Amino acid sequence: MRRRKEALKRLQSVLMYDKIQAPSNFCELVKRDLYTALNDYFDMSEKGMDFSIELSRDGKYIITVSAKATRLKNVPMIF
Amino acid sequence: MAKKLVFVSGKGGVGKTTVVANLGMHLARLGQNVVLLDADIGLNNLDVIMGVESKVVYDILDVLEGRCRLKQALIKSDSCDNLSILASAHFGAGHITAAEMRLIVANLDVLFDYVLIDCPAGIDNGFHRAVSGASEAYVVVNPSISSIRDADKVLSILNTYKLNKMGVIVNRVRADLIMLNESMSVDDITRLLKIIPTGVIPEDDDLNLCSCVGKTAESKETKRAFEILAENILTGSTKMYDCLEKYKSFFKRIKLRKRMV
Repeated sequence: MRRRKEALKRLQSVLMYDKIQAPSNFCELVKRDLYTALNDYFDMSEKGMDFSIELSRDGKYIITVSAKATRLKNVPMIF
Repeated sequence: MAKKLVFVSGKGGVGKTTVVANLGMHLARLGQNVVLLDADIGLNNLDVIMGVESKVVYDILDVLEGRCRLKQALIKSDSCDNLSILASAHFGAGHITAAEMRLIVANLDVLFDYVLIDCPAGIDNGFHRAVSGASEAYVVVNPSISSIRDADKVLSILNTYKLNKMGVIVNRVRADLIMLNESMSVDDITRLLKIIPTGVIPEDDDLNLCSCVGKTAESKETKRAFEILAENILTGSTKMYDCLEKYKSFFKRIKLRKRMV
């Protein structure tokens, strides 16, 4: 059994939630909302999306989002 | 002026006292005048690990309450002339303040080159009392989820103190489990805690047995690991004991793989 990867994944999640002191499903909720917003403009899969939060030394939240899209959608531009 | 190092962990049972004892021994063997201060009031074990429990006449509380002078409470190690121990009290945790701890450390400062402070587990008054007397802090961590989680919290707390240096010592590393992908590696811990370790100590059953008879490490690998740690602390170098070295040979890897089957 290869338990190292699973242990690492759990620990990364635990360390993040300890720092940001948010409920355990907080990141999933934000990720889903971000996907909904981005999906209006890009053809993309939620599975390939990465989202993480870190706390800097001066107490600021550093939010990192990364996603891959296959193409831009045709969006009517209203000015 | 002495370097005052405190060894903390958050989680108990990770090997702080063993690390303090063995590191102290190796620093002393490198020619430094070292004192080991047991700041764990009530659950003290440094005297037992060092094999001097029957020699303790006065402890830190006796010094603070004026029943003896500081030098009378210092116990010289049998194994090394320039290594001394100041034992902790069996009770009276609430009687010693952080200011009193700083006073003891300040008095030891003029007598020794290194003051190694063994901090109690947890992050309550005992922790703050021990850390307040130090200029450098080292977090002892094991490759386990609870130890790393606690070490991460302790590092955040230590950032609020005015320390010259902070470091991490990864203790009880199982190279065989790392090779089998069953345990987190030193690199994993470095990435998670965002700090390069000052030392890496392998898991050693012989060390546990040595502690039972009041001796420091006797196995070649563990001694080498502590030598490197002592050198890093003394000179500021960043060498690392390579726990995986012994598994780099082809035959050793075959032997390990047979365990998986």
